[in-house]
Parts: sequence; structure tokens; C-alpha cells
Amino acid sequence: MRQVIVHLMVSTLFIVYMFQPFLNEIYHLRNLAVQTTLDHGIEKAAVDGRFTNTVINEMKMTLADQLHFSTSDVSFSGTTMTTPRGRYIEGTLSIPAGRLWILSNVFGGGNDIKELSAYAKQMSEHIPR
Amino acid sequence: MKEIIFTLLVSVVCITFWLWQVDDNNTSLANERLKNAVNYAAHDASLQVDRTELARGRIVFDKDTAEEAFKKTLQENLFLDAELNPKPNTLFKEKLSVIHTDYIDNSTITDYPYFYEETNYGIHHWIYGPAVVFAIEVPRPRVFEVNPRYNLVKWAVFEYPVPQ
Repeated sequence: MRQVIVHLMVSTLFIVYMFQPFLNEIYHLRNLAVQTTLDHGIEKAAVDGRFTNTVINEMKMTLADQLHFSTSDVSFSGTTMTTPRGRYIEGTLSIPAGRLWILSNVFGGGNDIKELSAYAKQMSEHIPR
Repeated sequence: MKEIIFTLLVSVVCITFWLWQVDDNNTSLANERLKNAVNYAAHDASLQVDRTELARGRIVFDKDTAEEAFKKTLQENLFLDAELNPKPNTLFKEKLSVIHTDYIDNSTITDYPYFYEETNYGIHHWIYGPAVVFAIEVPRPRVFEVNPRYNLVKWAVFEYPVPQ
């Protein structure tokens, strides 16, 4: 009986050691994916002076395809009104953070991060005609 | 007793690798955000041109306004204060420095393409029109004090965006 209890406790630790690093890496790569997607989006948005529906949909589709979300899980808020050259445009792109802890009932939980967000702000290049 | 010692040893090894992974991921994210921020800031600086010279068909950067725009955009993207110190509860922990600034415009160079080289900061870039050059440096954000300390350096060369 003592052996069983010891093995159960040790197994729990080993499950965390073996699988938690994978979840850490997935979290990190998702973070990078959001950052990179918003970076490409704001480059295009700067030319148009705003985040157009095309750019927003393209960012959502990119994340949905890469990370296997539905587009409704990807949220965006930012400058959608045409902004003249020299004024700032900004955007925030968010995706669900997903599972952060391998055994969230034992380790972690409580203050879990719900969303991964990226934020970018730069000036518009657009000259209204 | 054997199991306890074995578990302790395995725990030490696994936790060491785990902490290294967390620190490495943090540095990778810091690199990505820093590079993006310096790109946006250089882009905004490149928009600041002398209107009088522009009316004459020459692109000459307004250096004071360009540096202001550069710092403002860095502050907005990296959550820094006016002195480029990071705000609390943000990714970076120490002051950021602008270590190199240069302007290649119609007042200095008129022959493009031009190969810009600054060997102190490893900047090598072909320029096809008037451009600004900025380099920034910040101590990397360490998750734990025992992790090695070194600086992250990012640079950006941004040409004047011609209106489309």
C-alpha cells in the first residue's frame, strides 16, 4: 500500500516534468504567432491608413489556419477609421490562451491567463485624396 | 529511500531544464517585441521630413521631430515612460537606450542604391532611397536572477515611405 502511494505521488510529478514543457512551448509559439500576424497586418494597415476588413480577415484567417481555431475565436480591436499620414493607428489581436497547465487541478489554475494578446501602434502613411 | 533520492535527482534536472526553457522563451519574446518596436519607431521617424525641402523635391529629414517620433512610438509599443524606463508589470525590467542614430537623405547622399555600413552594431543594409537608421539596446529581461545577463541590441533601417 505504501509503495502504491509513493508511486502515485512520484507519477504525478513525472507527468508534470514530461508534459508541462510541451505546453510551455505551445504557449510561447502561440504568443509569437499572434505577434508576427499583427506585425504583418499593421504594415498593410499603415498604407491604407486603417485596418480594413480585408486586413482584419486576413489576420484572423492566418491565425485560424495556423493554430486551428475558428475565426470567431480570434478577436481584433483597433483603428478602423481612415487616419491621415503622421497620425497613429493601433491594433490589438487576441486568441484564447488554451490549456496552460498539464494538471491544472493540482498545479496552476486559479489565475490562469485566458487570452494571448499582441498590441502594435505606428503611424499611418495614408494621404487622403 | 532509493525512490526518494531518485525522485529528488530527477526533479533537480527537470526543473533546471524547465527554468531554462521559461527563460529562453521569455528572451525570444523580448527579441520579437523589441525588433517589432524598433521597426515601427523607425518607420514613424522616417515620415518626419522637412516640408520646405519636400516642396523643392528633396527629402531631408527633420531630425528633432524624427527622434521625438522614434521615442514616442517606442514608448507606446514597449510600455516605457518618457525616460525610456519600463513601466511596472511589463516585459522589460531595465532602461532602454538609443545607441545609434543616422540619417541618409538628399542633404548627404544623392547616389542610390547606397550600401550603409556601421560595423560597431553590425548594421549592413542596401538603401534605395532616403532612410533613417536607429539602433537600440536593453538588458534582456531575466526570469530569475541566476540567469546570465546580457544586452539585446536591435537595429532598423527604414526608407522614407513614398505616398501610394
